[in-house]
Amino acid sequence: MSFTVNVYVNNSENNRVSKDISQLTSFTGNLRSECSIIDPVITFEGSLETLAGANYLYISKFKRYYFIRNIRSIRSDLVEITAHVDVLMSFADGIRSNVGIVKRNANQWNLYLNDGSIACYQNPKICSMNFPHGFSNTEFVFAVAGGGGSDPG
Amino acid sequence: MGFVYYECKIAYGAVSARDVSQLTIVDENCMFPIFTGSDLPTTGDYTYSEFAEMMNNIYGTGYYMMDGPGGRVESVTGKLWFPGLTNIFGAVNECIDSRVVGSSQCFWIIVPKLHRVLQGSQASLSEISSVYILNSNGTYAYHPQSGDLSAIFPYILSGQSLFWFQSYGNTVNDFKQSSNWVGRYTISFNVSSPTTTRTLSIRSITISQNSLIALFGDAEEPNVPSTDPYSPDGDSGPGGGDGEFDDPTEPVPIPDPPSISVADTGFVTLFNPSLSQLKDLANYMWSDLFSVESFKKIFADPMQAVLGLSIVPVNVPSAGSREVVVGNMSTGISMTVAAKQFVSVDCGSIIVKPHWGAYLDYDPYTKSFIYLPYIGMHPVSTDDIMGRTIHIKYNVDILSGACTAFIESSGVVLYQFIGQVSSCIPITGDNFSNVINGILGVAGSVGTMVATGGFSAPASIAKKEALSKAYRIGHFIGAGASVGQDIMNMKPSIEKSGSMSGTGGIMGVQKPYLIMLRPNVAIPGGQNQYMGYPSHITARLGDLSGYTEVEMIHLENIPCTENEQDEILDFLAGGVIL
Repeated sequence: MSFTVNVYVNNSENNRVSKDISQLTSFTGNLRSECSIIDPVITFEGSLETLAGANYLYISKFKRYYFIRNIRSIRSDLVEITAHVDVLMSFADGIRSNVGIVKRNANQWNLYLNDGSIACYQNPKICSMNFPHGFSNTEFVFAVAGGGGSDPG
Repeated sequence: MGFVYYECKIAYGAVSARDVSQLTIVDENCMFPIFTGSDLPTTGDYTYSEFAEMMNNIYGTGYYMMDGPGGRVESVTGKLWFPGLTNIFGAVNECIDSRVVGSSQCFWIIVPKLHRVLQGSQASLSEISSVYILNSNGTYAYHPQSGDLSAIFPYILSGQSLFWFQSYGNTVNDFKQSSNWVGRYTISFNVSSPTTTRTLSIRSITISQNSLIALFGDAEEPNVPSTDPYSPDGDSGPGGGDGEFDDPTEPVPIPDPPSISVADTGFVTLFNPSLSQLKDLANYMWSDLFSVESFKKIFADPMQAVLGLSIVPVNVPSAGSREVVVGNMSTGISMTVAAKQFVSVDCGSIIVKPHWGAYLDYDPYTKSFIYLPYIGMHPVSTDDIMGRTIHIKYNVDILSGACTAFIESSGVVLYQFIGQVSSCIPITGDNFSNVINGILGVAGSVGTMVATGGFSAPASIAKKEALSKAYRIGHFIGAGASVGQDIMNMKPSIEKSGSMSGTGGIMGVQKPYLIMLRPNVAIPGGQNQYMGYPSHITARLGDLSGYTEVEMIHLENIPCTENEQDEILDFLAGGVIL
């Protein structure tokens, strides 16, 4: 089974769904032995120096992107690459089409949800607010028995 | 359970309305149960009381029966308890309040689906000529427009069941008085035979299979006989989510000070003297002009007629001037008479705004204290005041010096504290001793309070806990520990003032103020980029960007293996960058 392997340099975080990749080279060959679609081990005829800077693959036949986990020189101009599928990049469109309950997000959030994740310094901020009015005057009150009460007479 | 809760709606509209769409809905979510005879435990002849007792034994007290229109019920008057009575009649009341209902208007209780039950009954709806509802006093509280009920039955049969009540004159006002409509009601149907119309009594109730019984119970589930929770069937079941989702909040305003005054009795006179007037009076009372001998005809001691002299921090309302009479002795000195015994002091309002715009602005992260002059410092719940207008007002008794401070938040009095505003001036030796003893007592209590505050969270213990927790926070911050809460909770609680009443209070701060201890947030740069903030929304992932953690998702339409799907789920739960 003839298939093409594109070799890339991935500059993105592993957990980024759409990777920023730049192609290094590509190989075309035949699949001669058993191969996992999730964790393929592929042997290339090529220079180790060419592949030394690579960390990412795309195998069109498998319709998947892969992280390169290891590159091993078998003998002169024969290189073995161990890879693992990048499920995020490979199924990015499908993932984006799904709907779910989002726990945390960088841009759509509500800080009134208490998840206890905001760290605080030991020293609190102390602030005070004055009410506009208070007791501003002092007067005498003299109370006597009798005298006619409040009627000014 | 043998009965089904039916949703009904309260509406009003013209008497002539025959189309439900012409009515104005007041309440969308009233509920009442209907119990059908086929679910009755037995059949037979019962008096009303026998039947009620049987139903109470089965379904618990508080449920009363009546028969519905139809069924083989010979006597159809029974007691009913409208479920959600407050809802139904409250809504009607609201209707009355919001729109004067004249004779051309009536109330409707619309019961979708009830027609199916009615259609299954054995009696003809056209037999019913009118409906009366009696209040607990046995007088008519409400009744429908007589006659013509059959005109609405086609609408019942077409899918909208209606109980139709029209207001009549004074009954509207009766209805508005809660005592007239909260309680048990009796409903009776006049059933027209081909030749006569009779009002049915409650002497005999004959129930047969498939008859229709309407149980108007309180809107709660009845008491279900207990079952063995360890039986194979268990005892769990569906439920919940049936809240009313309304937050009925009625204003609880600050009360006006009492209008009554001890001075109105004539036994006591309250003066509001100036300093010079007091000096004149003192000079007079210690002079030879003051005839102690004639005074003693009434009092053993001249000072018995003087109830008190105090300093109060309020403006005393004036009722004009009058000569001071001590006992029966005219002094020849005029003073301003206090017009009222109770006065209020409005300290105004402040708006407490969120600082962080986050959960940290609330308890227990932000702590709040309110200082009230003549009362002291009191902790208040930040939840109660955050984002609200806080209003403080005092009601003061200028005779005794007692005061009550009201803390109102958004129209509701949330806190009330009492204190003492007056500073007594000793005018005799006994007075002075009392004043001093009072001050010493206050001072002692202040010392105790402060000491207690310290002992409640000794500094050494607090320090050790702080160090321990700080260590843990430093090492497990990634575990999602409630960092802010830990920090705020491990701080010792210290009393910020003791009693500030009386003489102590007059030397204290005279304006209320609010102290807030807010957490001092430490947010690392790009926190949203690296770990985001809590979201808890349902969204299509393609509509989001940046760091995202997914709480729950059911992946579909992704052509991947099961292992790959598990890996995708792990990524989404752990955080991806979209």
